[in-house]
Amino acid sequence: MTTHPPEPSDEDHGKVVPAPRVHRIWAWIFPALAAAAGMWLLWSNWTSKGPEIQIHFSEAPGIQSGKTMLIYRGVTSGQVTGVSLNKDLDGVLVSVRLKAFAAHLASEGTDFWIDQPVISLQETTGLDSIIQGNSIHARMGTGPPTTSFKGLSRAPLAPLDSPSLEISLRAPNIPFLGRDAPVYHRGVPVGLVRDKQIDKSGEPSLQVMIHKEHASLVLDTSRFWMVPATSLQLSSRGASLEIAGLAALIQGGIAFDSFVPDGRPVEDHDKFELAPHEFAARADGPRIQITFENAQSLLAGETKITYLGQPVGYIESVRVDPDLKRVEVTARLESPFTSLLTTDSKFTLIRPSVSLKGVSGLETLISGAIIALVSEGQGEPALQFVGNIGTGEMPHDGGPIIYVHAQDLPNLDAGSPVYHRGLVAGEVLEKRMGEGNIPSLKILIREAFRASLRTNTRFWRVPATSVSAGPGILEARIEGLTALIDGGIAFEVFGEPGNSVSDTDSFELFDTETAAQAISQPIRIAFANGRGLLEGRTALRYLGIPIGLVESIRTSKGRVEVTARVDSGYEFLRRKGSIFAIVQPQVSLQGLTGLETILSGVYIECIPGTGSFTDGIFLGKSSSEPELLERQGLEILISSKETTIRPGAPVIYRDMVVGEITDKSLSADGNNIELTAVIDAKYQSLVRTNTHFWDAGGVEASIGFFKLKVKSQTLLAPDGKVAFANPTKPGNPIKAGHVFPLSSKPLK
Amino acid sequence: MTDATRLELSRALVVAGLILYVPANTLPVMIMTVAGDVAPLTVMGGVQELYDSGLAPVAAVVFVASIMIPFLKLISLSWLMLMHGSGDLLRERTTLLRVLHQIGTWSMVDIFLLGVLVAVGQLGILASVEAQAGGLFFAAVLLCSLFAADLYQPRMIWQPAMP
Repeated sequence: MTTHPPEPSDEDHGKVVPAPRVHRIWAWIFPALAAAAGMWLLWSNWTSKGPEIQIHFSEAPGIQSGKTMLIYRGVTSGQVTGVSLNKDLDGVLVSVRLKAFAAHLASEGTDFWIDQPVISLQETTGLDSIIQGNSIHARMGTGPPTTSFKGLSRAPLAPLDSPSLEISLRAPNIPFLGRDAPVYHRGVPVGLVRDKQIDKSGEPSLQVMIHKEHASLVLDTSRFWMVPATSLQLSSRGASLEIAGLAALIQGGIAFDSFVPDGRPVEDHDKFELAPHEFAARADGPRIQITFENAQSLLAGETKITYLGQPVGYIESVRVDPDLKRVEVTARLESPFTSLLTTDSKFTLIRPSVSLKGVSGLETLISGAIIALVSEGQGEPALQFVGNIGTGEMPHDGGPIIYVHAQDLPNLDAGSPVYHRGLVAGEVLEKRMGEGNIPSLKILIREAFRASLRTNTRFWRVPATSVSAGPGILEARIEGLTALIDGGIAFEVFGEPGNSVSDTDSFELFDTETAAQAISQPIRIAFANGRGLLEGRTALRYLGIPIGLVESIRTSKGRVEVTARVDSGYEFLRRKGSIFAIVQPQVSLQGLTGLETILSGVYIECIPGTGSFTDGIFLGKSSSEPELLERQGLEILISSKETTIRPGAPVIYRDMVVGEITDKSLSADGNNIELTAVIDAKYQSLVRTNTHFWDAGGVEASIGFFKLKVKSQTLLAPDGKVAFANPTKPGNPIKAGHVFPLSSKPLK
Repeated sequence: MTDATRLELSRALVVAGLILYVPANTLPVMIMTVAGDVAPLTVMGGVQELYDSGLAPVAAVVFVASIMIPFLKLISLSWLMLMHGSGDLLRERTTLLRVLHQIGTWSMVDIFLLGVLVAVGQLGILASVEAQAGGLFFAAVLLCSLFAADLYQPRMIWQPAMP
C-alpha cells in the first residue's frame, strides 16, 4: 500500500516566505562603513588644515602651487596653495596652507625664506633642495598671530635658534670682511658676521652674531680684532705662514678675547671697536702723546712700543703738530703696563741700523722701527712725553781699516756687516771707486778680530740667501737677518795663517766661500759649447769629488773660455794632457747617464794628464760618462759604411777587452761613419797597419731556403763589439789617428 | 544565500561604491616624485599628466578604464537595482549584467598597475612612487561594484519583485 503524501494545501502553494528584513539589514554595514571612512577623511582633512598665510617674496624661484612644501625644523608643515605676482608686478605673493600643528608659525616675526642650494667656501647648504626641489623654510617668531609675512631674500644665518647675541663692531675701515666671516674666540668659531654696513655717520660697522651658547664669552672688556686672511710673519725664529682656516683664507675673520679680568656680560646691540690686529686690540690703556723730532719710519697702527724688549703698546696715529715743528705720536699701551707711564719714562725711537753693538737693532729690520720704553715706574703718572731718536753709529775702537775690491759690488753698502765665523767682526764704512775703476769697500774690523786678518785672509760675499742643491741634498743658508736683506761680507784664513796686515791693505772680494777657498791660480779651459755652465756655481770634480769652481765664463774666438779655480792640493791637474770634460745628463735607450747632474747641474770632470805643468789653455770636452774619459792610449779611427756600434762598445782582441769605442761621428766627406777607438796603451802594439777590424757584436742567423739573415745586437753588449786580429805576418806599427776599415766578417 | 540576501547585499554594495567613489577620485592615488618634482596624482590628475606629456592615446585608455568604466558600472548597477522587479527591458538588462560581469574580470587592472608602479618605481632619489589613500578607496569602489555585479544574478532580473 502506498501512502500518498498529504495534498498540499492552498496555503502552501507558491507561497513565498520572505526572510524577515531585519535579518538582511547587516548588508548595509558596507555603505555605512564607506560613509564613515569618507566622513572621517573629510574631518581629518578639515582639522589638519591650519590657517592660510600669505608671504611676499621679491622672487620665488622653483615655488609651485600645490607642490612646494613649507618646512619647519625639517618637518613638512604646510603646502603652497598659490603663487601669484602682486599688483605692481614687483613681488611674488605665495599662499601657504599651514598644517594644524604648525598653526603657531602664523605669528608675527616668523621669518620665511626659500631654501635653495648655496655652495660657498664657508658652507654648503640647501643640498637637499637639489634633490627635492626648492622649499620654503620658516623660523618661528613670537609675536601675535598674523597671516601676512614678508619673506627673506636669503636664508638667515641662524635659522632656528634666533636668540643669539648680536653686537656691532666699528672700525675706520673693514677690509675683506663680509657676511658669513667667522668670529673666533681663541681659535674656536663662535659666531658669524651677519652684515656689513655703513652707518649714518659714514663709518662702516659689522653686525656680528655670537651663537647663544657662546654669548657669555663676550664681556664688556672684550677686544675685537681682525684676523687677516693669511699672515706671513718674519721673525728671528724664521718665517711662519698662518692661515686661519679655509674660510678665513678668502675673507679673513674676526677674533676677540678679553685681556683683563672682571668683565661683565654684554647685552644685545652693544657696540665695540674693531682693532686692525691683535696687538692693537691688546693695547687698551689710555692714549698717550709722544713728540719726536721726526717720524721717519714710524707707521701708524704698526710701530710697536717695547718695554724690556717686550711689545707693550703700539702707535695709533702719527701727525705733525700744529706749529709744524715736531711730530706728535698717539700711542696706547696694554693696560697692565699703564703704571710705567710716569714723568721719568723715556721713549726712544730705534730705527733699523746695523751696528757692532746693536744686535737688538737688527730686529727692526724685519719689524720696522720700534719705540723703546725705559721706565722705573717712579714719578708722577703722565700722558705727555718727549721722545728721543736713537742713534746707530758705530764707535771706532781702534781696529784696522782695510779695503776689499771686486769687479762689482751689488747689495753691499756702508753699514753692511762683516762676519768672521758667524760673528759680526766689523762693518762696511764706505763704498767707493778705487784705483783702475774697480769699486772697493772700506771696512772697519773690530780690534778683537785683528788677529784673524792675515795676508792670506780671504773675503767673500755672504749672499742674502743661498740655496745649493746636490744629489739628495738641498741646502738653504740664511746668514742672519741682516744679511737676509742686503747680504754681507765674511772672511776667514784658509790654510796656514800668513803675516799680519797693516791698515789700508786691500783684499780681493770673492763671490762665494768656495771661490775664496780655491786659492790657486786660475785654470783656463776652452770648450766648444758651454751649455749648462754657471759662473760661480759649476764645480770641478776629480774622481767625482768637488775640488774647484768655475769662476768666469766668456766667449773668445768662437769658443767658450772658462776660468776655474781648483782647491789647493790639486795642482797636479795643471799638467799637459789633463782632460776637462763637461758632464751632462744624457737620457737614451741605452740608459741614463750623468743623472746626478740633473740635480747638481753640469760639472766639469777633471782627469789629470801626465805631461809637464802648464799655464796654457786646456781643451775641454763634453761627455755624459766621465769614466770613458779616463781611457788613455792609442786613438785610432775605424771607418764603416754603416754600423750599429755605439760609443761605449768594447774593442776586443782574442776575447780580451783592450780598448773602447769613445766616439761615433760622420766622416768629413759624409760618406762613412767613423768610430773613434782608444786602445789601451799597453795593448797598442797589437794594432798594426794590416790589422783587420770587424763587427763582432751581431748575432747572425740564416734560415732555410730564402736565406733569411738575422742580425742583432746581443743584450749583453747593447752597444755592439769591435774585434780585431792580425794576419800571420803583422804589419808595421801605426800612429794615432790611423783609419781602418770595419769589416763585417772576421779574419779567415 | 537566498536571492533576497543577494539583492540586499548587492544594493548595499552599490550604495557603498557610490559613496566611496567620491574620495577615490578626489584623493591622490599616488605621489610620484621624479627628479625632485613631487606630484600627488589623483586618477584624473594622472590622465591629465599623461595627456600633457603627449600620450593622448594612453590618457584616453586610462580615462576610459579607470574613470569612465567604474563610473558607468556603478551607474548601470544602480539602474539595475532600481529596475529590479520591473518587467520592462528584461532582455536588455540581462545583456547589460552579462557585459558588467565580463568587464569585471578586468576591473582590478588599475589597482594591479598601481601596485606594479609602486613596486617598480623606486629609483632612490631620482624617482619614487608612493601609493596614497585614494588608491585604497579606488580599490574599494572596484571591489564593491565587482561583488555587487556578481551577487546580482541575471536570473534575478526575471524574478518577480520582492518586497
